[in-house]
Amino acid sequence: MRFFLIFIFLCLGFLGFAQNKQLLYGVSEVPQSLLTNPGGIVEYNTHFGIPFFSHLHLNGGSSGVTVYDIFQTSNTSDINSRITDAIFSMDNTDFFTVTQQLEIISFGWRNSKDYYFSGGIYQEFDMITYFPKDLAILGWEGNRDYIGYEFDLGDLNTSGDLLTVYHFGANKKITDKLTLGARFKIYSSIFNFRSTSNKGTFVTRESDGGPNIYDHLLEGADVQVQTSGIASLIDNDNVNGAGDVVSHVMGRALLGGNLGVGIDVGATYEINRNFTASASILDLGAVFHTNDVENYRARGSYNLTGINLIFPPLEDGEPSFPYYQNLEDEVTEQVPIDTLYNKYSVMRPLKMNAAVTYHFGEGYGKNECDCLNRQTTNFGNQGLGVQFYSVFRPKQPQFAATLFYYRRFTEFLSGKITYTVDSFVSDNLGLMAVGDFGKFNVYMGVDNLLRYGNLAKANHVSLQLGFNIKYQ
Amino acid sequence: MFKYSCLLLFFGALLFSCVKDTDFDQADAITPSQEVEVNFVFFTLEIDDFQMNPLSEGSLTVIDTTEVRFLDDDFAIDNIVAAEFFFKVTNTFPVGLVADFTFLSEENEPFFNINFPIQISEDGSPVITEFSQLVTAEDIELLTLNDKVVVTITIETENQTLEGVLNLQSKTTYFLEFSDL
Repeated sequence: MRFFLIFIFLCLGFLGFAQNKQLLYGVSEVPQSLLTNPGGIVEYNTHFGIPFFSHLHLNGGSSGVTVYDIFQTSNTSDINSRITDAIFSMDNTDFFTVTQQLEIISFGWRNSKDYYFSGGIYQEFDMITYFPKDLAILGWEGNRDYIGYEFDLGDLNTSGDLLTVYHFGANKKITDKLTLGARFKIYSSIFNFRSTSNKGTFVTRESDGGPNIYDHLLEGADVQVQTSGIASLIDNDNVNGAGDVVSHVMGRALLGGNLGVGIDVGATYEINRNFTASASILDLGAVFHTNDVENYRARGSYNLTGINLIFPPLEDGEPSFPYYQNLEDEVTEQVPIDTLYNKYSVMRPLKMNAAVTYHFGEGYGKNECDCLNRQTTNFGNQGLGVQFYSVFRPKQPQFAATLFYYRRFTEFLSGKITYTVDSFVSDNLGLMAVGDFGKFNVYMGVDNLLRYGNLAKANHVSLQLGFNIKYQ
Repeated sequence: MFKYSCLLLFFGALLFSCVKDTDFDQADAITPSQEVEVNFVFFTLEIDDFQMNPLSEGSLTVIDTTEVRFLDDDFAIDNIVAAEFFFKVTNTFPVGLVADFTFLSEENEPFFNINFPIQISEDGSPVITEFSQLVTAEDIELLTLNDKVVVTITIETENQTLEGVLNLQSKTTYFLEFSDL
């Protein structure tokens, strides 16, 4: 339990908007920007990612509380009172989330018809847990001070995925102004868990004419947890030791698990010499969980009134009624917990990006600005623009808006600064640097720079980096 | 100049990022402390329910026993730091009664007892007796040794035609501290 709490609170410090890659979006020097917009501008003819090092993305955090809020050194409050304050300051729409991506293989090439094909494999872990406020209050304080308060079981809302994504896409500049792209994805789920549509309430009420002092009412409870890929991992008959676990996970990662399909689409439109608009829709698809599925569902209503003694006439040595066992049986009968094996599908978290960029500035490097030919690529080494991002989550979509400034300093060095506002963070400053050293491409981006002086105070920190080989 | 400033900011942020003014050892002090109220036993008795008791002349008694299995579970032993029992008895019997709750261990050894008198109804109208017993931190170990409770109600009469009704309702407040998470 303690480790769980520490894990939760450590997660708090690292993220608000998992998967928002506002630094990478639109940075055409980085091949992985095609994963944020398959219709992005491609400035090279071939690329290979360094296996396992071409894209690492870590992102995590909380919308409502920071590590510092809980673990600060303080002479005026103890940690338990700070946890109490945090529980009551957060809402059930606050969330904790962790996202991690590791690209295993990445490649791309341009064919004779000027299509740029790209593909690869990456592994992704994505988890979101909404803060179950009512359950946290009940678990932290008990029901004594909440007589008559209805604790909402619907506050329990969590989902998580570990999967491998196999993808292949094409990108082409259709006209002088328009570039389109699409990517087909096959998802190979390693494991999934999901508990997102829970209902019901628990309330302790003073009994009005009832048999005992209180009515402990579980009303309309319908709590379900769906899992796939987990039951066989915890089945001792199937798994003996770490070797079996690795073998099992690898098998599911290599298209041996539950599969799904999805697409990414994107476009870039060069409105005029100065303005460019782009947009993308990512992960429009679903994973179909059909094997190694185990779901648990508790449904029903029950009023726990206590143990009703009836004082039966008994002979010496004759045991009394099994009141306690009867009570347990009654609860089990009224609120049965079923283990189900029915298939289920999970939509991938649909993500949308959009941006408008104003390009300006001189050329760079060896080519001087040809002011009579404003379509030449050596115009506009700087860009200023806005980006929009949204992701569909179980309770509600999340949005983020970003102002950015991009600059290509030299032929081999460029950078991007972002200022992102979302529902929870209004001062997220990010910075990305991209280097092209010959054919070697390296990039690194970090978020929430204003909190780097003390990461414990950050709601959101992300890191993305990678290494590629590019041929012009 | 600008690019060098950006690079300096970028790598400076990476090099000098840190977590400070925090103390993760405080995790050892995380102690959720719940106060949980839950119904206990309830029953209604009339004179027909009482029987002669050879061990107690001049009175009638009823006895029943129920398990309270969770009381001696590891969870209860580790985390219940105090408890309070509350009884509300509504009585119309015109004679004295006594309620006795004897908690027994799995080996039927009595380790904890609650006993209180019930007020007489002089005129047959309902008279309410409320009784609370706090089980302090010093005594809680005696309570959590038990997994059943024997409930005995004694009425100070041998008149088996006496009219009256006794209704008992009860609850327990458990004070929990999860100090060994």
